[in-house]
Amino acid sequence: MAKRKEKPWQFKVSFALTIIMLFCVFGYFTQSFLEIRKVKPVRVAIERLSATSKEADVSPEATPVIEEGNKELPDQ
Amino acid sequence: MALTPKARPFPLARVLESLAWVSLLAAFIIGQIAAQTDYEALLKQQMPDVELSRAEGYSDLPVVFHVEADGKASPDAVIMSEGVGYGGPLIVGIKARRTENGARLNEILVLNHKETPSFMNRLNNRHFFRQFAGRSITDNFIVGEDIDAVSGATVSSEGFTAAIRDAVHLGAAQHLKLPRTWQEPEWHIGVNELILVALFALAFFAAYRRDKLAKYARLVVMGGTLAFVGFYANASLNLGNIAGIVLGYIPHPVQHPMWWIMMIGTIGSVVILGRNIYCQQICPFKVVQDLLQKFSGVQLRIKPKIQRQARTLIFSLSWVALMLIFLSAHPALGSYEPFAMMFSLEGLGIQWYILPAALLGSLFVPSFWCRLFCPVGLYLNEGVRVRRTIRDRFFGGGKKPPSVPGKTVQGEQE
Repeated sequence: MAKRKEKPWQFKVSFALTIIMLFCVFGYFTQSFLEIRKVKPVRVAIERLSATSKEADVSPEATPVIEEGNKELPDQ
Repeated sequence: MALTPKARPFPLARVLESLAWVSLLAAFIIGQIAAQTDYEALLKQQMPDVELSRAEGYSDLPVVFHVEADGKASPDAVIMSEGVGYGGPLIVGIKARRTENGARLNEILVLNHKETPSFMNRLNNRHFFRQFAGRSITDNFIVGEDIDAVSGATVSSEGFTAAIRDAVHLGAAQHLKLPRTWQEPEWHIGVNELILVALFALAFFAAYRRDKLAKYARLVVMGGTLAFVGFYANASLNLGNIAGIVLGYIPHPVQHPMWWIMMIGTIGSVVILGRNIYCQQICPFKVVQDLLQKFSGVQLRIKPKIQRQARTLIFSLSWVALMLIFLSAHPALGSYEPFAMMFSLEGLGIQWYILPAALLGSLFVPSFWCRLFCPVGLYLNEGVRVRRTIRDRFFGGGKKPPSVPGKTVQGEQE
């Protein structure tokens, strides 16, 4: 009887990686789906430049910048 | 003895394929209906301390709003405008404050965008929006002149700048009646566009020659695409780009000539030449995989049967991705490729685990990602196959293009 050829360890690692990646991709899809379910037509990255300073003080040097990047807006 | 007709097996594959197409169409329609957002209400919600009233004569974007605070007319004006980023349209709201000589930019609200989260993170982390603070609304607002683009998110930088520029210049000219002292952006082919055209030209040259010169050309394209398309422009094609075209997110050629060069080079090579030049030579992630594979020296072969199953797997994955994209009308949400992360090192959530697994896999299996997971490669190769079928059926076949050994992606196609 012919002896069954042993698969190299790299094959096993590659197979395991393929399975892991499949899980990861589906995990990413789940993550995306949850994002959609939040029903926030507008989200991510609001960057507010200071609206509090006086008219004379709104030059780039004098304006204190308040950054709110990636802040999510409330639900609609 | 009468012959009984052989029972036909149930065409499960065909039924599933039809269902997939119908569901994609349904998702597209639902997504388009759901994407109708009332940005005016949203803008008002974001500025609860003031009362906004739409100025007369503005029915479509860009729109100017008068501002009232505590029942009194405010010197501020709010303008809402639209631009186009790498992922699709983006909407910004600009608040400008009147000064003695004109007005200054006072507040920017990004109301909506379709950019890849990693690109958006990059803009925020590099303080892209900070450079607009307090600027006069009569400034030029031109990337490369008075605005600096963020490398790795150049198209997004251009898109936001264009939206902001349109808004403030409209407000300056029509609302505040200020003289037009600013420059309009001129269309010109820059160095970036020339580099991309040169890379495609070299790739075409290398694809049709088998001499030593072609070998050098391939090496130049490899290095060039890794440095330029990958690390500099971060402009790898992904499923989101293809879905974006279906959704109608096509940027203006004046604003994003690189997008057009990339698309014409990629789709043109498939349609006109019947070759998938993008996957063979331009894709920077393929270059990374090739380098890793050279480094490891291991070349596991994928059996044709597994390759066929992988094809089904990629179609299934891309179906899920396209459903998400069409339902949300947001191309970046379904793009599971790790390209943007690879070249900008900015990523979100679980996507971070996909990148190391893809890189590790390519140490053992040549073009691991391309063969087993990449939807772009599969669709481009399908395009090549369809073109070949059409040519054979309607034009009686033709001369087979020379194949380049060792450059085959996705196993059986070009």
